[in-house]
Amino acid sequence: MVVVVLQAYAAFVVLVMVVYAVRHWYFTMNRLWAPQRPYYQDLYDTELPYITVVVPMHNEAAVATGVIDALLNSTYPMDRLEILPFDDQSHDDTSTILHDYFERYPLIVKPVYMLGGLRGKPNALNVALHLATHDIILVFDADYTPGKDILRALTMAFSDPEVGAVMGRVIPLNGGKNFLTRLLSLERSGGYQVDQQARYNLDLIPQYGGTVGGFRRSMVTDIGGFDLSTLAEDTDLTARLFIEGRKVVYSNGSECYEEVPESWPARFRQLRRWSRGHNRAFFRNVIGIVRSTHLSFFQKLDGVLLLAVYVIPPLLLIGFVANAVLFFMGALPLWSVVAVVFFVVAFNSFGNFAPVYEIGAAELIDGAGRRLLLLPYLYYLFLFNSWAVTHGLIDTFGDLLKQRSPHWDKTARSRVSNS
Amino acid sequence: MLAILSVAAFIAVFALPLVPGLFELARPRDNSGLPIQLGYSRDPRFFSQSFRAKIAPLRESGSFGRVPFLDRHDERASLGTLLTLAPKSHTSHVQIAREQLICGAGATMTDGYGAKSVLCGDAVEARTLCSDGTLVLGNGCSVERWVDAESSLDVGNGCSLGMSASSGGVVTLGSGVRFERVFGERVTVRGGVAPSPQRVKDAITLRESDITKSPNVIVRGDAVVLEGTVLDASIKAQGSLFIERGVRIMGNAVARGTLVLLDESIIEGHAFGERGLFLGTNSRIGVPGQGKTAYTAGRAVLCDGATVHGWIVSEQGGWSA
Amino acid sequence: MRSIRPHRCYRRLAAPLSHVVPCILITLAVEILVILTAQPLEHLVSSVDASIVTAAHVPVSLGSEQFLWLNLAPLEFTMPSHDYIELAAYILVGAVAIAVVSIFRLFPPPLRFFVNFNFLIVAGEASYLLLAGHLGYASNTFSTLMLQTMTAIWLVLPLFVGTVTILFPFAILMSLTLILTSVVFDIVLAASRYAAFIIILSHSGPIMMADLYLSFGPLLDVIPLTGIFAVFLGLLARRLRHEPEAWEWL
Repeated sequence: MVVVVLQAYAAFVVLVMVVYAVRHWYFTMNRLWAPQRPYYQDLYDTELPYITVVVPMHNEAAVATGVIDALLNSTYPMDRLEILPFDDQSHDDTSTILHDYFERYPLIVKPVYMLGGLRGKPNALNVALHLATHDIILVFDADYTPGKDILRALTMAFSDPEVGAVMGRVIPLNGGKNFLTRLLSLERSGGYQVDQQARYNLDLIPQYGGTVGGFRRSMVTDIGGFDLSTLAEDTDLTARLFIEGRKVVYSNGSECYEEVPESWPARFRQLRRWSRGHNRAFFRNVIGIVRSTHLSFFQKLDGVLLLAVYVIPPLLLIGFVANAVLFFMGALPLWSVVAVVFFVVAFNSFGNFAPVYEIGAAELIDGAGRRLLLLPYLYYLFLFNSWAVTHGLIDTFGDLLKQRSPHWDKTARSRVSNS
Repeated sequence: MLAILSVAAFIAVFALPLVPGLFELARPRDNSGLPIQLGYSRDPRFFSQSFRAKIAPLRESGSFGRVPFLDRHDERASLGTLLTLAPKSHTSHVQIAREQLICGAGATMTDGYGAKSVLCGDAVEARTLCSDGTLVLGNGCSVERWVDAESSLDVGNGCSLGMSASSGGVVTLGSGVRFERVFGERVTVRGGVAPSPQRVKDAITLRESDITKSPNVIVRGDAVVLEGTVLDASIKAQGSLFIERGVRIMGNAVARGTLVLLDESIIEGHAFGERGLFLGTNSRIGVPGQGKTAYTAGRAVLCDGATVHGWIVSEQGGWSA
Repeated sequence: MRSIRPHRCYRRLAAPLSHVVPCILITLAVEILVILTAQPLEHLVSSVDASIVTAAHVPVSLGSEQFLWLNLAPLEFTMPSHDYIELAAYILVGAVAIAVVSIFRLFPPPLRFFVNFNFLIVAGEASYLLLAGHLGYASNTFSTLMLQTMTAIWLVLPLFVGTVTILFPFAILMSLTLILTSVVFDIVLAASRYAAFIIILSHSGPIMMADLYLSFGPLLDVIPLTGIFAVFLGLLARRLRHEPEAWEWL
């Protein structure tokens, strides 16, 4: 009986692996071979819409001037731009810096000082829904460096009345710093250049990532705003928009630099937080995705697979334990081992969830060279990632059982200043 | 000893394919971040503005005759006030005229610039053409890369305009003109008529009485907007969008399939047809004084009198009827 | 003539039909070759490994087992057994090792987790042995399992590598080389691993069996295979870098 149960579980894990591996193979083929679905960046408009740019900040004195200067230097007409930097209970000079900008650009830069209450991005965004003057809200993290054209490129997505949110591509600025950042840089490229773009091409579920992106205030308000109980308000928003028949689009050409964690503890915390938030979004929205009348079968399937990405690693770990027990008992199914040998390739990364062939394709498109030789080292992160994600899932169960809202813990910044 | 060697051999074989990666880690040669052009801003007239900036020193130099061009060892420029290319002549020199450049019928050239005007006869072939004033192309001209005129661009019948045709003023296209991107304050077709695509049988039909004034209209499938409808919002069809005669859409029109705009209809915002774009006789995109875009990742067909205030982009190539 | 390299957000690397069809044929050809040579290959591996193991002073003999249509020749050997004191020691040492590695953070986290993972398997196996008295696999059945796994992987490998190769615009010769290299490499890897495992188990006893198979066994094959794939991708990247010259005044 025990053997039967364990073998059935092993079969289930193998099935999940096969589904993800095949899905990503198809995405890779689509990205490499198929005509790419056009985005809206080629829409030239002399009457650009009014937009609000939100920049949540907590102790961001080191990087605040960089992002605000970059926004002020954009080609977006200043008379149609409103910048709302949120000082979320900072203890450093963030508020002083923001006040200085307000004095110099009172009609454009309008700081919001959160003096108390729930700290974190979801709350800041909910406040932005009330305070923003305009319907289109773009969001950038404080350590990002938006280019001159990115505001226009992202805003043009909202020319399509069905679009509820847009996501650009993040590119690590510190990707060459050390071994970890090099691997994370590979992950990012696969996740955006191939995975997100393929999902956009195929009219599936591209994900709004919470930064280098934006949303339509009216649509977000209609679906109840941002969920304060989750750390992944972006994933939650993506799911709820699609459930209600709205679209999230991906702009592969809207590129912006970001920082990836440079230390293992920072990466562990980041992945744990993503897992915690993402899994919360899974439990909240998976039924809605399946039952939505606005989604096709493949959109529903992709939606479930997308929401489940951070549920899978713990299932894999349990699968390994099951296989170990089956081995002890002398009942290890050969087909399970052979399948795992090949299809575990779908799980070499858990941050942006792109198998090696997706990452390889992305790097080729990006014009990479010798960095491709690092692909096998992605497996070095497998157990580490799985363990971090498992911690996140455990946190999620704790949140659900105890009905608690998680404490927002932002990723540590490595950049010392804006230079 | 052999036991240890055997284990070592296994480890060595396992590690062998990982060695190239170790070299890259030890001595990184490809670890710089992807370059992002942070200063980039979209400009439909980018090529010509860039070219003008490059030739400005030559133009202002006061030189005449043949001179080196942009430090290239394989190319020279001809400088003058008035430059003329004889019919059916060929030149490999970049022509930079401080006033007027005249190209006789059938002449072939590389790049040409005329500060006040550029006049091309029929069947001229050029790599690029640029004018700070007016630019006229005769019938059957072919531009390989781009053409730009500051005040007006007049394109004869049967011309081929390369990757980009632009003007700071008015662009007029004759019939049978092939293009990819055309930009101007106003782009108008002086051409013929082409048969419009047939409307899809099972399309959802929309008439004004069906459409409430805002919010926007989203149709899950093909859609037909009936004649005379006025829509004060944007419209999107997840299939094709067929807009009948005399319709006025004050917002944007987006179609995942083909966007067909029949005679006398107006879209005051953007027109975005993923698969294709058809602009009927005297149809219009945009509003005078405001630049909008008619975009398709497929092919665009423009009929006589079709006007776009702004940019027409047809990724797979468009033509005027 | 278009001579501007498109921005990476638009770029595609479509593999033409002239690549896809030969790639499929090559994959099928290598697969058929592997199927046809599976039997002699298996016997060769068994024979060579038997020689190596014997030379390492481990007495072995060649058995016979039917697997699919193949007649496998697993190496039959003996392992020392463990008494309960030994097993208890393994459990204790494993637990202590995990604690020490975790508390003192002796390795970077990914390596630390892998080290702990292995200690956990060994301790888990020791616990099972203590409770059940014996493992589900004896030396000969384990040997058979190793050979079956190895053979099954060889039989599937060309299809898997071919399925990934077909995505990329490799030259035909490169596709063939990639698939063949992967297959040959895996045969050599599996053979060397088989011999190494037999030698280790003949000295250590069954306590290391699960850890060897689950941690260092066939499940790790994907890592060096990815390494081979990465090398070939690098060669492809070098070829793709030779793009038409961009317009000079951009």
